[in-house]
Amino acid sequence: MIAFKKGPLLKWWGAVLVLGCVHAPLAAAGPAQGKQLFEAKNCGACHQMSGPVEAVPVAQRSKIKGPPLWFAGSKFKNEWLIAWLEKPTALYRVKYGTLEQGANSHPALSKADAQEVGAYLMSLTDPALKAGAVTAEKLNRRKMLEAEKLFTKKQVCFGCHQYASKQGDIGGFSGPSLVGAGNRLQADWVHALLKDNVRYYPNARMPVYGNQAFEAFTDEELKLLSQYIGNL
Amino acid sequence: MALTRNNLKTSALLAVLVLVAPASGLAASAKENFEWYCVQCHGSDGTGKGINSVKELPVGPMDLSNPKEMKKFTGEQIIQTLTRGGPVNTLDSLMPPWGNRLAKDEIKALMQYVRSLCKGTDCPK
Repeated sequence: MIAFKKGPLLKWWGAVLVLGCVHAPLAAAGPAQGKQLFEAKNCGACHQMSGPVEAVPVAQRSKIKGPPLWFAGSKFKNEWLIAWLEKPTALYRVKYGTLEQGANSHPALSKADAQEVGAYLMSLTDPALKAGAVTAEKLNRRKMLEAEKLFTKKQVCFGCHQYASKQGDIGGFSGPSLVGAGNRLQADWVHALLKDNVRYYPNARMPVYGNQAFEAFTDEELKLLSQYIGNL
Repeated sequence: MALTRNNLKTSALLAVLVLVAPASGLAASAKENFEWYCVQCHGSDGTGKGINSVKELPVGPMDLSNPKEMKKFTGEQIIQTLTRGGPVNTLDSLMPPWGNRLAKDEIKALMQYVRSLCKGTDCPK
């Protein structure tokens, strides 16, 4: 047993204890606390948290108030998510689930709450998604041009999604903006989405690509496109 | 249980209803599908002025109410375009393929709905 003597050693241990107490609340911040907060704030009123969610008839889809989040940890980048929860900005130029111009207001969380809710959301991953299909590395200039052709010509993705072109932010409004998507989205999840968007958004307006009867892209092209979106 | 004439009729009616009912229970009317998937580009009247019709696009969404445009395509070609996207009929890839999202019979009904949006006396049937 260590015997404490009055003097520098005891003071040192005291300092360690004090520091431990100060840091205790931060160390406790995590998915469980975040989940409690998420439920207390009734976030589930707009976000579906278990999935995959079921498709509903198209006539009922405009009643859906927000995106499902059961795969949030596979989709988002941690740093972006926490910053967004603290200072939410509109990702759509239409109200969610409608074609009505405008934006939904989203509650802003305190810094501490954003960290806790963020930890909870990042703990929710799609078990079927295999990481590593797409590299998050920067594309070189040649590959960027090749990918941009897929995005703007092979399929006109910016017909529904805004993106940062050389001419500025351009594109349609019905889909979420892809301006700065590289800060927000994980390239592996983008690839999984492009291969099977019904798994994540069965009630979306987006065409279905990937491993389907009427294929517009090869899987190599989908990987390049995902990496490109991860570079936007 | 022995089938009487009356409950035989009921059973036959139920059998017909089961055959007609969509398997998934999700099949929508052509108007509902048009409003959900097509209006975003073509607008609710089909004139091509949906919320995604912005000036930076390579081409504008087609005006489906224009008989001149609509006469260029047979019903079968419209079905092909809806299913496989614009390039199948030398149109721009701005028109995406919907064949992976919608069932064959929904696309056929959508073609007929698209035809109904044409305005004028010389619209194709």
